[in-house]
Amino acid sequence: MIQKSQTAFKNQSPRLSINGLLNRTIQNPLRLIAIVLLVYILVVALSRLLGGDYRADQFARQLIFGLAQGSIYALIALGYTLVYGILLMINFAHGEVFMAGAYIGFFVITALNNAGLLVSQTLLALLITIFSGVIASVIVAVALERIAYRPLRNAPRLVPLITAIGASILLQQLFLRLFGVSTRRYPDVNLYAFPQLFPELGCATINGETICRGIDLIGGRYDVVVFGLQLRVLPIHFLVFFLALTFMAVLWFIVQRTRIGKAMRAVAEDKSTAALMGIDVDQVIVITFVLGAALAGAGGVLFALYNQQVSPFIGFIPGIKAFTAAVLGGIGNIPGAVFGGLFLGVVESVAPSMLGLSQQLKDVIAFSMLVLVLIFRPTGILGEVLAQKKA
Amino acid sequence: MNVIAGALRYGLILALVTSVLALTGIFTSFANREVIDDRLTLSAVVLGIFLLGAGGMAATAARPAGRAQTMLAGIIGGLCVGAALACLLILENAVNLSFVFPNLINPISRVLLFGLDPASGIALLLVLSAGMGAAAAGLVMLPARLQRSLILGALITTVVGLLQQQIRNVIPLHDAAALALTFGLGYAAAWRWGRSPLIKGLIGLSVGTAAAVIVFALMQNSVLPQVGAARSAVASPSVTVQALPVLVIIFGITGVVSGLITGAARVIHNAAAQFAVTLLILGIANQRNTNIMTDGGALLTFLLAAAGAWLIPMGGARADAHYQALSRSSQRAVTRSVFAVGLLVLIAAPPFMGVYITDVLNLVGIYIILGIGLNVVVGYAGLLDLGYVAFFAVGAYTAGLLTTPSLLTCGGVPARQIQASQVSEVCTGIMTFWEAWIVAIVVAAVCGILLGIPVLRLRGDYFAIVTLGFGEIIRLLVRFDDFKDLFGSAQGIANIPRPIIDLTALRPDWRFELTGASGIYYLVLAGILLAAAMSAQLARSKLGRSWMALRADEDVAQAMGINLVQIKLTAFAIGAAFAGMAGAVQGTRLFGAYPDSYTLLVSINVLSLIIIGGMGSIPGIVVGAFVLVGLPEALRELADYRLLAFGALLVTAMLVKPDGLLPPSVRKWSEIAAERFERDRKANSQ
Repeated sequence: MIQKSQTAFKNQSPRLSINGLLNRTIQNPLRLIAIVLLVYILVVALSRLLGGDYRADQFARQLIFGLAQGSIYALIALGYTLVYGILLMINFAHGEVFMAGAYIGFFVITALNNAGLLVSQTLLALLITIFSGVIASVIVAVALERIAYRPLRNAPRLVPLITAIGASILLQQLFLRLFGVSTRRYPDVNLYAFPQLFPELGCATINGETICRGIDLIGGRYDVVVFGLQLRVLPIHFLVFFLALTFMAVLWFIVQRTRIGKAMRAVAEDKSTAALMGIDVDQVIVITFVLGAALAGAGGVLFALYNQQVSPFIGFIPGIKAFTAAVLGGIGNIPGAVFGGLFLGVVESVAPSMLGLSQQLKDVIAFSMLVLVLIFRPTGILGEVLAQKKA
Repeated sequence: MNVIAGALRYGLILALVTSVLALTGIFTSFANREVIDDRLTLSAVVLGIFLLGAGGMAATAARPAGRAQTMLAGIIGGLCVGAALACLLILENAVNLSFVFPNLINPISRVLLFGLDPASGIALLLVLSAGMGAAAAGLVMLPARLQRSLILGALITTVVGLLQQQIRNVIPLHDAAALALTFGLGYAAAWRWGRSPLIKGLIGLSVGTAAAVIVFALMQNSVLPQVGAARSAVASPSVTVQALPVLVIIFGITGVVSGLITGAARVIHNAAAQFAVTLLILGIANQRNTNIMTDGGALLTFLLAAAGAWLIPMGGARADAHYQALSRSSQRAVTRSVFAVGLLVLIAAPPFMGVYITDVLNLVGIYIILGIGLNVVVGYAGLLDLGYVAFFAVGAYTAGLLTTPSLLTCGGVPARQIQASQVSEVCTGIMTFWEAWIVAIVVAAVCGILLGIPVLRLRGDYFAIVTLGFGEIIRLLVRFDDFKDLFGSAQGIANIPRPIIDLTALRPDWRFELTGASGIYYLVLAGILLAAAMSAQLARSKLGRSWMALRADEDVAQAMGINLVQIKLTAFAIGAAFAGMAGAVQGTRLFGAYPDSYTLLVSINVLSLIIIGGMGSIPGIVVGAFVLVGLPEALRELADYRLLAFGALLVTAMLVKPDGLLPPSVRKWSEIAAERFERDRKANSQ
């Protein structure tokens, strides 16, 4: 809107009104400041790189970690964005849905570990764990939708927001009271794979006999030299990244290529018309929550697999970050959420040491970047189409 | 058949909730908290609430089907919960659940089996749950008013029982009885003989004066102890009154209020009458050195509360009828005089309440100021601000930096690098609290404008997340280690002084330091009055109407010639200024500014309290602050379950009352226009 008024001002002869002046000073100098800031950041980063304060292997390491972290953000952000696209509502409790997946995954993986299945049938056990995390998250999300959101679907927009905040606190505290204050630790998992591809890794000598089992995808850490860079590589980061991409591709397929996906897009476009066309809106909304929760649950287990620690509070910060990521990419937009999540994860991981700032400022950088991006593109990076429609 | 299915549905839902709560160990952690001495523990109350709730919900659903069906449904509902708990008990004895549910270390069976062996204990539990379900069904079948007063009576008795440690020593029984008697007599007399508000007030005044004389005479003859003499040990400044004029003022005011409210608006009448009943209950609760909730005390409290809940709405309806018949100006006069007396009561209250309650009230008051401020942003202008805590923190830190030895006041040298002996000479705070207060307000407003400029172009949810991010940025920056010299990192800024009212120019000994909880109480009270008055004025002004247009429809508002950027910035700055004001008060209340008291939870709390209270109304904000801040703070001993209850409260309050507890009574423009039209038509026809 303000964009339009600005062009209107340009067409008129310049008028000396305080309001016009205010409008223009608010827009242009801000962009100026933002550009100056960006240039400054680039210069600092380059000078640190050239001056040897910041090395390329540092960058590569942080990039890999950032991609893994970012794909977790992306998995959660997709849940926010799906729900927002359809209900125009911030599902504040989505971070707790993520936490529920990680937590129930902990109990399942511990039980499997005690049963010995985690060692003998590692892949199967991991699949069961991820699946149970998904189920737990889905149950929580469907219950949330049924109890807390559906009765308020036609209420003013702030009301479901408050219920969502309440539900978030409630779930967090319920898990805290039910499962205890102490942080739980995922067991160590070793999943060996690809003995042919990596013949020299993962070899162990047992009883004088050398067995090469390939690389350890979950628990391994390897020092390798790639392109002359000394790197310590954790395969789990790659695994998380590729698994997350797979899940997102499945989601993309569901939304774009299936009947139910078509129904979801129709409901997002216009609920009442969709209902007239014979679409069961309630059912579509439930399915939306199920899809979002499934991604969050899988993300929760993956997050716990490489972070190894779960507590009732692990959902809160990733939840907020993921929401930031969704907004960054353009809320309501599926590729936007993926891009925003990866972008946020990478920037958060790379920026502090690249700019020579303290790690404490990680979150400050993340949020400042959000403000910067929104100054340039008030609808998010990929959010234009939707924002024009809804605004 | 339908009846049974419906009953099972409610019963099973509540059974699930109860089982989950039981798994959190709620029955063991509440077992040591006694509501009525040696009779009723909190865990029994919780169990009772769930049994009654299940029976009541099932019975309400079956109500149209007839009495026998209702009773059956109630019993089934209660049994569901009982059976679920029984299953849990059996499971608990069979399997060790402590790995998954570590809070179950103290087995619930110790509490839920009533100390009996499993078989007979479970049988007793089932019989009890069926009985409670039947009782709930009976309650449902009672007339609505009786039901209401019974429930309220039980509720108030429980709350008094829970708070018994805090509310003993508020007012002695004979004081309370004398005041309540005066109130009742004045009320009755004004009811019988009063025709206009003036006469009602005068009748009340004469009753009050007579009561004062009688009390004075009784005191002289030592029939009654001196008013307030009983409360000496615990209350800090003990209140003893013996002079006749003071008695006349106290009892006279009581009488005037009792007279006036017989013709006041329903809300005011009910609030004042409830206050009188509460005073009497507090009088009963006041017995030093003994546990106050004995069987007799509990019964008396219950009867009083139930009687109050029974009678007050009746009186309220009649008083409201009188009130509506009055002219606009006399309505306003009645309301204002009752409010003035209410203010007097508030001013006189701190010595009676003791330090603990006063401090809780201070916190509630600070949240009320915050709520009024955020209401300008969210309620008036419709901008969802999730980072409101930022300005609260700005206020506290500004006050802290200016009133204590800091980098700012020591000429750029960190205070901790200066020799301890020199600190007082080289650098002290450069301002008194009052000056710093004003600066804090201004700085917060400026911060509001600075933040507002980049973000106000964003709409809705983008705006929400950016403000949330800003709130986090401020908190992270103040606790950032590299800024330790300025903001003190995680330790914050300590030793913010208490405000001093310095009137030594008028009289040498007029120098008051607002120490202790009661000093801050007056500061907070003044802040609330100021904020409420300003906010009410703003709502009526042209700016306020522009905000409402903005909230209704941004595009149309712009088309009507409203400068969106300007009014959004104004709303933001004013909201921030209120937060800065509250922040400075919080700083001096806590003697410092600490980063961990300015988390996202504060923003969430403030937003929730204005929405729970009913957005846009100041009484709603007050109620919301008491419910969301005061109640959890007063029940601090139940710390483990505080946030759980907070979350549950947010969800249920929104589901049950989406408009909030006290929504604003906005007169629609269409109504006003219709009124005007009618008036003009009458004028024309004459």
